[in-house]
Amino acid sequence: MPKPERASGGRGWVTPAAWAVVIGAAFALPSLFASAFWLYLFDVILINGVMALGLNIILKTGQVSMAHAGFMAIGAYTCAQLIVKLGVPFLAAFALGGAAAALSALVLGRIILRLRGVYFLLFTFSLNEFLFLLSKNVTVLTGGNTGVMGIPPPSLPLVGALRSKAAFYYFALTVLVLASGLVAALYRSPFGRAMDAVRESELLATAVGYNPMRVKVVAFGVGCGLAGLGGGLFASFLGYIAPFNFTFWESVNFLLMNIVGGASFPAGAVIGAVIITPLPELLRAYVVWQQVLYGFLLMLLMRFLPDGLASLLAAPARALLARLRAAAPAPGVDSGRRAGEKA
Amino acid sequence: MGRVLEIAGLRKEFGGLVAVDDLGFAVDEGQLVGLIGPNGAGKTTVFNLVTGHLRPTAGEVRFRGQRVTGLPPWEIVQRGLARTFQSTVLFGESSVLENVLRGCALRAPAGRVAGFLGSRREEGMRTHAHELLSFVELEAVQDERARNLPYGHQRALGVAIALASRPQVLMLDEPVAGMNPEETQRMAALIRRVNAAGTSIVVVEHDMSFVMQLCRHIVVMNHGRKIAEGAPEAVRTNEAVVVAYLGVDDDAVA
Repeated sequence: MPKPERASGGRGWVTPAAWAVVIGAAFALPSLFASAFWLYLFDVILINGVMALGLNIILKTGQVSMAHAGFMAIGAYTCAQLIVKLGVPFLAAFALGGAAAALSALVLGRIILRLRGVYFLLFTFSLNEFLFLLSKNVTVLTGGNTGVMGIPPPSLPLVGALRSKAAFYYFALTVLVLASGLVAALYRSPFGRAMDAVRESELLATAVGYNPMRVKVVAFGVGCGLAGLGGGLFASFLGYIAPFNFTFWESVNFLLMNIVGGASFPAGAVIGAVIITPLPELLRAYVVWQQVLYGFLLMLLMRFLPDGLASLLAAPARALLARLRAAAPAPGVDSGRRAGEKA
Repeated sequence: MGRVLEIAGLRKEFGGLVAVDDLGFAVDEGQLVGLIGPNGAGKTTVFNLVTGHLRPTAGEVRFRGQRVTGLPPWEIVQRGLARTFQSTVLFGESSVLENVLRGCALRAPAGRVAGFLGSRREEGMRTHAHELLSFVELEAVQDERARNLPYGHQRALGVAIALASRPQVLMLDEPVAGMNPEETQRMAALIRRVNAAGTSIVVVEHDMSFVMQLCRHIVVMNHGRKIAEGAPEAVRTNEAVVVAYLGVDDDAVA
């Protein structure tokens, strides 16, 4: 994500304007694709985008979590059961789902974030399995193998129920845009610098006055909170959730999205979701070869673009923005000149 | 001239091994103190005990009159006692400027919410970071990746990062280890400049001649104990010191 230059002489609006164009285009998308297949795919991409973005925050502190789908499950089950069993309004249930995931992460994080590298990875892998088995066996809370059925579509005050895939798309896109804004602000804040410091050297981060454990716990909490929100979106989108929606393989997919898109950019997580989500669908025509092609594509991407697609797009995007900025009229200078001409 | 750092009765045991035994010394405001001793004397252990990276078995560390024994390292930095590392420990993938900016981050008294939203502080930090980089003569390479710098520059950057928190006492862990004579002289000049600017300094080294030319007050350790303390001339002729260094011939040469 390009940083706004202070010395751009009143042209600071170019970058926000560029984002506005991107977001506007995203909002226009459903009107261009009427087919239910594409709309379904776009909806799933947005949900995965929120999920991958959450994992990106955790990766930024140097921890690789394989329990992301587990925290998604916590959010999904909380949101779904609050609506189905207790009749809680959607927005409240959605927020509480995110809060439940964030809270669990803050409590667990204090213990498990002491582990680093592969040890953290292996532990979160077994944590995901543990949560999976829990969702299968604690039937009272989760409905066991049958899961939770009959989850209504999201319903918003004033707007009402979002029954169509297009309506859901607008809601999910709004969530993703807000989440991206939050993450961008977080990364540009002093806390973002603390996360970078902890990732690059915990020892030196400690010596310049950061408490690495606190930084990692907070990042883990925020990241898993986003996973919980993604889970709530997912539950109300499908209308049905079961343990098999939240296996360890889903965690692998969220990690792949970050790797393919570029984990060092927040935009990379979303780009990764855009690319990884449709891959199995697009390869479906070659059923026998689907998994093989999928694996082969991923290998090619990792071999030739180890920093992800975002790294490939970053330079042209920056150049384009610089060109736009140069071409754009600076308000102060321009109005002054015009006033001069008139006189 | 007040005492800024006081160490008394410091002891550290690793299992059955006593690495530091009843060690005590003090640092006055503006003083440049050398802590020397042959390899294995316990210097680095003392360093880690004072900076909070290790917990002492017994004894006390007082910084500006307050007990800091057993505090976590980040709190000790926050109080104004900064450190560098023996080997180059840097944020290697980041720019030289960004490395120093991360060191400045502590000076963030604006509160968390304000810090989260505002970038005014960022400008103050950038000014300070540029001053520091020109102080350690690295402003020309501020946009380079830290890990691409030559060794001498990396060590100087380590000092700049430590200075960014505006410490009252700076502890340097073997600042000239592995340096050639020219780099060593540059580091000596840098340490003198930092000290002249008002920061008290403790240099932990085993290169005796380097510490002798740099410090007016020297503490000598061997086998975890203090064996001598005083001006360079007095320490040089001290019998225990001569035995400690010449008894282990390799160290005297190194």
